[in-house]
Amino acid sequence: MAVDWSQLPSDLLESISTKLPLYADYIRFRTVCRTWRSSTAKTPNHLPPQLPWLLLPRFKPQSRNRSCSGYFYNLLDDKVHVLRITEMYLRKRRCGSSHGWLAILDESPSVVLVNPLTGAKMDLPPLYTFPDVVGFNFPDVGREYLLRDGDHRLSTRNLKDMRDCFVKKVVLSSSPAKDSQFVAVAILHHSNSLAYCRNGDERWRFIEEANSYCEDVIYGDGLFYAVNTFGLIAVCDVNGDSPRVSYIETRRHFGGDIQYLVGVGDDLMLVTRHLDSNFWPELDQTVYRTTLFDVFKLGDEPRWEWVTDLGDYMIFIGQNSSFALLASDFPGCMGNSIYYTDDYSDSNYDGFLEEQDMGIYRLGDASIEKLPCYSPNFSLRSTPPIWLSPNPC
Amino acid sequence: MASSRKITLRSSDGESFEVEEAVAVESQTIKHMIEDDCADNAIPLPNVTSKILAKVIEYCKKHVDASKAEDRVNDEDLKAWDAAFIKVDQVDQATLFDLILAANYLNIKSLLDLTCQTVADMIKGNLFPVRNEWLNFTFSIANRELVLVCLTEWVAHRRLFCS
Repeated sequence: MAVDWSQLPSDLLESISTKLPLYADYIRFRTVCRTWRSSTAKTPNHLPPQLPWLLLPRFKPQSRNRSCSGYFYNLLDDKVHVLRITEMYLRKRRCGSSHGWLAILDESPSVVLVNPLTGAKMDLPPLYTFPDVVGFNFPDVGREYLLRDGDHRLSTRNLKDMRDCFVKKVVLSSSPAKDSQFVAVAILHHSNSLAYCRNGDERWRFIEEANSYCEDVIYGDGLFYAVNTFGLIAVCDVNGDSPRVSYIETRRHFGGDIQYLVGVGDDLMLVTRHLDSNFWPELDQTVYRTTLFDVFKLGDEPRWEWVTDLGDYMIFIGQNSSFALLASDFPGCMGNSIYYTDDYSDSNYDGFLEEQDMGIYRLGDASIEKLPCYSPNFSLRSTPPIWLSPNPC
Repeated sequence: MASSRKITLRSSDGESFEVEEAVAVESQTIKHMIEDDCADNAIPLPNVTSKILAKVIEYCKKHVDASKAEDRVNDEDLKAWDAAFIKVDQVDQATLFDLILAANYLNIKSLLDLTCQTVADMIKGNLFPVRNEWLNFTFSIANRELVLVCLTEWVAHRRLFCS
């Protein structure tokens, strides 16, 4: 005897939908029958953060096909899929991935946020509105931007340099589609500073007191946390008219090449990436490769305490806003791991055909595995892969 | 500690069930009826058949006993009991459907959670029959949504990351 499930009242449908943490399951839920589909929101409001896709570089940079399909690797089903997204165009650079939105730069001054899943776009203030960019003159080929540094010295940059080397990473407080009061923070290489803007602002502004806290920035609980190379943290409140900064002065922490901040459960953690370098005399190049990660938890005093076991957590770092997920929420995934991509090479190399530095680091035995979708096609000539947590909002 | 006063519940098909007050008040609906003094005679439950009411009483009794046992029943054991209680091939879909509605009407939060989670698990496990023409309809509405549905339907082998 067939049950007429369409008779289920809508408040119960709501309860059921909250028990479907995977977006794919939510979509399947809405295809059960017409009544269920019309009684539930197309975009679930309470979807927890999804297991990220790995957006891969295009395999054929010389492809004539300008309609730009991108490839992404889905950890859940271990397959590479195709999705039509213009953000994969080779001459664009992705300098941030936050709440399912990518920050895209190209050879124009515009800074654009794009959600590859929904196709939604939003503009941020352009590059020439950063406080240290004092002039922009498009016809002056090769010297379009005029920059001033902390000592008031002027220098010029061309379009490619501004795309590749000016902004290190853009971090968002929340999804622009969901929250009209979102704030974006950019880490700038040039002045080693942090700049921020709110939705609707015309210019970027410096967070003056957080100068040099430029290793990594994350957002949590209304505040931005920025860390410097020694593990000291600047806590930035940009909700008011002018930014207020307080500091967490941890005991100076040495070691490692790149620092990342990540919120894991209720704790603030520091992930230190150690690189090994190899000199290739025949090519006169030094190539770096990740050998090891150290993880520290912010303890009392305050100081960084070494963590040997992340338990069920997986950490995703790279050019994206660092975040952590519980492996048990996602079938087939293993905890106590760091999934990492290459986020430093593209500003260091000039097209040398070396492999991207990406993989999975298992804390248990300090081993490194290649990502299952790894292919020798991932040379440094293509844009590095980036983690993207698909977000339908 | 709780009074051993008995409450009579009458199902929609006229059958009477006598239960301890502690068990009956697992249902917030019945609890309010008792507080409002409507429980002198049998409490009529016109939305619940005797078959379902028997199951609901079985569930409530187990949960009340579990919380007052001298050596408290282990959480794990109770979860295992719940899982066996709701196992879909024993509880056919019609019973599950009626149980959800009954748990909702009687306002028994834990039973409602259990039954909703079971439906969610059936969706995850693809146990809901999806009519083919329905898939075509959704395709014309949202291309991107369908890409994701196909992705999940496409799972041939899950590669396990555990070594």
